[in-house]
Amino acid sequence: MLNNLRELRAERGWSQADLADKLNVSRQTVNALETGRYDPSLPLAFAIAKLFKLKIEDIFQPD
Amino acid sequence: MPPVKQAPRRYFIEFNGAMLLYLAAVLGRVYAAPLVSDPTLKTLVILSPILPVFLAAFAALRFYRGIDEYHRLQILESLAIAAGAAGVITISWSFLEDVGFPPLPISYAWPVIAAVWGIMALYFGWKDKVSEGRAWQTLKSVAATLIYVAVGTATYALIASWAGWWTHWATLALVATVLFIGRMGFFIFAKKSASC
Repeated sequence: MLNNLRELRAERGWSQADLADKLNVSRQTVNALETGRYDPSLPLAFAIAKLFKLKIEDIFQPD
Repeated sequence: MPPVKQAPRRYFIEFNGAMLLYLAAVLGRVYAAPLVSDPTLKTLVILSPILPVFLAAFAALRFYRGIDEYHRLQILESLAIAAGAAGVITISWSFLEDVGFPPLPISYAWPVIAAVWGIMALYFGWKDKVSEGRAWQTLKSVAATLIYVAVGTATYALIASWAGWWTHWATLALVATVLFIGRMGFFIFAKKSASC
């Protein structure tokens, strides 16, 4: 899956560690999400969408 | 601190506590068992290392439940590969026994699984570091740890040989292990970025 997590995070001036803390995941997990090496579970995708006040499909798109 | 960041610290304390108990039970039962005359009590003393093994397994389970989904996946993949490798090695060994290799005791199964599990976990961790552009920093950190453990153990060996303390290889391995655990403790507790 593709995602624009890095851009959304940068717009808010958050570091990977900041985002990781807000989502209760590790910084490595945020990096893996941003680089497309890991696709999140639905609960984590919903948590990300809720944090950015967007829909899941606004953040994640199929390849 | 987010719960997911607490998991490595809690695991470090719980697992190493269990390992200390294990060491005490393994060494202590050698001295304690001959002193006990009651057969039931003697059996319990001899079997005492089983309890810390369960405690260590429980600590690992709590760690698994405390980490996030990405690291859970990494751990499960590592464990699956380790189980497969153990199967391949033990089946292959059974054929080697037909041509004269010594029988492989069942107690060797866990060390094989643990070793492959550890190697795979290091591999996945290394892939993360490379992806983050921190490969060189990680290599330097690993080198510093190796030097710290080697110099520390050599220093103990020198002092021990001078002072007449134990210098058996098992003692030196124990000193090296303690130094390594101490170094890991520093990474887990002292650094702000400590997370799984």
